[in-house]
Amino acid sequence: MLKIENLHVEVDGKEILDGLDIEVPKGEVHAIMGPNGSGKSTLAYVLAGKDDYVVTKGSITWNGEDLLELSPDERAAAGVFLAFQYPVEIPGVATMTFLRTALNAVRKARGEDELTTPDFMRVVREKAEALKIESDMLKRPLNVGFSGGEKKRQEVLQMALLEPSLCVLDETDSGLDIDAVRIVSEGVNALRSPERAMLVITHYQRLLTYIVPDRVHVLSAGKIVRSGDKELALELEKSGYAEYEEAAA
Amino acid sequence: MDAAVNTLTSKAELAFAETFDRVKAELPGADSVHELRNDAMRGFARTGLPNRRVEEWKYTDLYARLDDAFAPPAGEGPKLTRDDVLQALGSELAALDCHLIVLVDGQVAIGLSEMNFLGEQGELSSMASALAAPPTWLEERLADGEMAPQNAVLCLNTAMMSDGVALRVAADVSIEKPIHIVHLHTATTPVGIATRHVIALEARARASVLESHVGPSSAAVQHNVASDVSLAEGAAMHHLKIQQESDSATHLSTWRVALAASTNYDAFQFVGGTGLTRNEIHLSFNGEHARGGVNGVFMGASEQHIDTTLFVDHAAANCVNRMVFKGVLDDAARGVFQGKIMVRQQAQKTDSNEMVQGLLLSERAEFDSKPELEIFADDVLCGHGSTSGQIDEDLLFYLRARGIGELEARSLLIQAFAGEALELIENETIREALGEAVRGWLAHRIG
Ligand SMILES: Nc1ncnc2c1ncn2[C@@H]1O[C@H](COP(=O)(O)OP(=O)(O)OP(=O)(O)O)[C@@H](O)[C@H]1O
Ligand SMILES: [Mg+2]
Repeated sequence: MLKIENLHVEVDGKEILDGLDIEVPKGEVHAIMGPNGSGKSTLAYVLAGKDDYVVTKGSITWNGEDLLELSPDERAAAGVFLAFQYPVEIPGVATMTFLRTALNAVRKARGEDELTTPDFMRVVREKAEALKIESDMLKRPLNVGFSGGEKKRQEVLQMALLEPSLCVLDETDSGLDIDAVRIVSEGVNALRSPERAMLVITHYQRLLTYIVPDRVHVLSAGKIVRSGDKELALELEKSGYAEYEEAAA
Repeated sequence: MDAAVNTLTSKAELAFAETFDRVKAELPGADSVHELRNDAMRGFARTGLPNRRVEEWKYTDLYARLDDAFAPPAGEGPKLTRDDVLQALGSELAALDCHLIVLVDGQVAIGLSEMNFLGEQGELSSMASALAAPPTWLEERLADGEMAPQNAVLCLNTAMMSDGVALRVAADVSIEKPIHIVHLHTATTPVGIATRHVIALEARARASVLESHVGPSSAAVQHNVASDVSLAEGAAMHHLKIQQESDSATHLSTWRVALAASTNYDAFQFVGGTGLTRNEIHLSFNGEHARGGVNGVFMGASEQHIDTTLFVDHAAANCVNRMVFKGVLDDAARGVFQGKIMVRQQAQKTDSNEMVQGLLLSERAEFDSKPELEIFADDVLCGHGSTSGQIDEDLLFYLRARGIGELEARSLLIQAFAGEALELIENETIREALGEAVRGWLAHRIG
């Protein structure tokens, strides 16, 4: 279970998360919705361990393990995966080299052997095909010149490859065309399992018709202000966030 | 010496002059060569070692940095075997399929060198023997003192040159395998070595030359090495250099490259060490439709000082020139890059561009860059770019968030940075050998 308690986070001296509580049991998918600037990506970054995000109070544990004690790579080894809202371009690092280095690092941490080259190639090809990622894209430097939607698919490919146990998806649907939302959702659904927990950040109810969440939370001004079942997403679609923004202010 | 000797004041300057007087009689060469040597030494006596007030030496104060000058190694050096040479080169360089020419402590080791592969297709000999009776083509190159009067390092080279490679490739001849000139230093005490290579490609000839400086010596070797390259019409050359010497070594290198019409010159310099390095390259476009590319990677650590200084002279129209340099600097290392592109009035339609990027891995590392354009023609395309920065934390975080450990993530990003220059090397095996040199440097530095 992912357990976040009374989380306070500052960036550049500014408080962004202000006493956030959330629990995601294994096997469940929770959605987080909320207005721009409410702190959703901040939460995602803090889970992954980004440097400039200072936790001033509170705790985060994953299956009882204190994530805040771990470096970003140690968290990845512990099963944490963040699909970035804005994946970076890394010129000069070949996509395949990157995928292989990451997969081997994570496998090593899990006590598994490195994959042989043919096995690695086969796995990547399979997963890329399922996500309709052209093999040409895999020959380019990581994300360089990829379209917004292509970058998001690349994120899901990495997730499928690394098979993390805690998946955090930050607006993975933004920038995807209608077909791609469906394809990517299928990829995400394929990873749903009793051992895995997922936190899906989105602005659009549409995604949640594909990836049906067990719970939906509203994050506003750094706190969870309301939680409910999947119907809450539909309600938000109609009413917007005005009422929560006032409540939080 | 004449009265001008008074300008020599520092210990090193005086030692250069004294050493020359002491050993000049034993240096190789015909009378005409000794004339050149004396002229060159008089030239040096007029200027002395350049200090930081000399514009081209602003960041590398040779006068202040050289606290002594050393004599050439005396007597017979150690007898090395081919295995010793291959071992010193390291597995990647040793595995390259090349014609090997080996200089041990500044002298061509004939027994270890392939001197006969050219046959009738040109001339190849040690500089020491060529100087005894220089053929016309060599004499012309040696006597071309255009830059000599102001260039103290080149003057010292001419005065003291003890050996090197004299290579002429006849018209229309293509040498398939690269020629690998190996410079090995075995000295255990400080020595000064001056090496001169002259490489002339006649019309439409093709060759690849790799100069490597990867010595086992940890002594204070002062190596002054000059390569004079001339390409006649339609000739093409790949010219590479790999330099990885000890922290106590000083490496002063001058490449002079003259390009005739429709030539193609493609050069790369890798520096992965050496206490003090000055790599000067003078590239002259003397005929139309020539293409020149000079690229490189320099990696410095500890207190190494690596200076790359380029002078590109466009004296003919319709030429293309590209320069891409990447510098990685750790600890208190200092990188210097100066690139001057001059486009003369007649050199219309020149397309010339230089780009240099420094990556600083430590707070104490320093990178100074001075690109310069001097343009007298009106219809040209010229540009330069220069940046300096640290590893991008966002990229580092992305890699680490995928499970890649910090050191490996840093190493990947540094390799990617250097890789953008390395990928410009056409020869795949040499490109990979240099990629390995970069990885080796990183493994040594950051684990
Ligand atoms: N480095 C920073 N310095 C100062 N403020 C920051 C920094 N990073 C984020 N913020 C602020 O923190 C707040 C939360 O940002 P965050 O990116 O978490 O919002 P979000 O909920 O993901 O928004 P969106 O829906 O637009 O993606 C915003 O007001 C943002 O401006
Ligand atoms: Mg966001």
